[in-house]
Amino acid sequence: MKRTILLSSSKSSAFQTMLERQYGTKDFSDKILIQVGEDKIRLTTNDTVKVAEKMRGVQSLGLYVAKVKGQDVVLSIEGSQLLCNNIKKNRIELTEEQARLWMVGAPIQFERLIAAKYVVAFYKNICLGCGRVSADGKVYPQVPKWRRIQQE
Amino acid sequence: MSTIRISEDLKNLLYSLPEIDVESLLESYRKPMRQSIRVNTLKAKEEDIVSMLREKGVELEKIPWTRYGYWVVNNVNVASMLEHVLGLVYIQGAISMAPVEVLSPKPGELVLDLCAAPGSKTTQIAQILQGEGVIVANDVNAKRIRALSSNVQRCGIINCIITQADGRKFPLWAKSFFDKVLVDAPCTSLGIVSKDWGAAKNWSFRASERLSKLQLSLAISGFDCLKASGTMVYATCTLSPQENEWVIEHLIMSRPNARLESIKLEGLKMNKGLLEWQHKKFNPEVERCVRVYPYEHEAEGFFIVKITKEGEGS
Ligand SMILES: C[S@@+](CC[C@H](N)C(=O)[O-])C[C@H]1O[C@@H](n2cnc3c(N)ncnc32)[C@H](O)[C@@H]1O
Repeated sequence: MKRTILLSSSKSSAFQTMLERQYGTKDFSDKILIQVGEDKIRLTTNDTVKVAEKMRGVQSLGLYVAKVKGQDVVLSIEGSQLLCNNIKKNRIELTEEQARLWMVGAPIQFERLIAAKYVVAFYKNICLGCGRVSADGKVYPQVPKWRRIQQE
Repeated sequence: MSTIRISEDLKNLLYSLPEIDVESLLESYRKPMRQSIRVNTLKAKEEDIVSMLREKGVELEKIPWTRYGYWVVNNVNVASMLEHVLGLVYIQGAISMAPVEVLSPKPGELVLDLCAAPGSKTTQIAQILQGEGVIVANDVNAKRIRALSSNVQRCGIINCIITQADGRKFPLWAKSFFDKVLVDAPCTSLGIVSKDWGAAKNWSFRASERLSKLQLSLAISGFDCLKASGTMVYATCTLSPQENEWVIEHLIMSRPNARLESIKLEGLKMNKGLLEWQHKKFNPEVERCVRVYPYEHEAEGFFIVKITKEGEGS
């Protein structure tokens, strides 16, 4: 398993400040944040951490919720879904067709200018994780390869 | 219709099983199983997911023996739907949902899934725990653990620990630790031949016997990881008594504080465990095990047994 550490309270609050600035929410409620490797953040519970200390051959624990890229937080699909209703800033709405394209990993072209580096995509009430906004107005979904819908 | 090839050993096995309807079994092997799904209430409300699917033309019918399980009645490819990739639904065999219902985990409990990959039952257990308690999902096979990790992530589970270890060694660090243990053992897969015809063509008594020794060690190991009064479910998706009743007979011989419990599940056709096979008589308690045959629900065949640990110690 990659090096895993509990996020110290100062790192945790720095992470939450970044979340608040980008998405208008900072709250993963009372759960525990852990850092895996350099930049990945997972969410779990106190009990899970305690039990993991007793186990051998641990490969992972909890849920991958975000990646920190410099000053930005890129939410995973599940990370965005946990925060979903509280995300106030940098949201984009997708149609069914766009949502499918998103999950294929294809960029989505928007007419209006988006003034953010990362946005969270919504399809109906479901969050689909973050996309990176490029200068040409396209949003590139950050959907990992294993998660993409295979194109027929 | 193409013909399915059955090894000589398998023919002999099938005709040695007293109650089985061999013609119906072979017929069921030739046909695909009915599609079924579980809606994932860790992501959204059951009724919301069901209505999203219905709006898209998926015809659903509730499976009576399992919470959140539905037959997909019409011919749609759920695997390629958005709801599937987003983790709102999990494609799982209807009978494969039964062992977890029998185990009946409760929020707050510590649960071990000893042979967990690719995670159908792990994700089902986690759904029932609702984020409270902990599930340890173990498997020995690194490649299969990748599929397990993906499914645990897709289902949005925060209280799962994935471990890679030989399940036979687990009591070294987790003796008498868990409230519930599931041993969904590797087996010769005679309950899912319609998905893999090779299982019938290559089936042999020798392989089944070899596997039964591993299954027994895994069952004993799982049992030793249970707390006193804890519950374990041992399950396979095969029909061979060597991998089923024989394993349980030897488990209760080596662990006198193991008690077999009767199993009740609404609407599921269940046959009792065999008391005799190939001139060998099993302990009468073994009758409490259940066998489900693939032709009974146009789904998988399974063997399921519920075991509790009496008193103190292992
Ligand atoms: C029937 S499958 C489990 C299916 C899984 N429970 C599910 O519902 O998705 C059996 C699993 O046992 C694993 N296995 C085989 N030998 C093992 C061992 N010694 N310890 C732990 N797992 C083992 C296999 O890699 C395989 O993934």
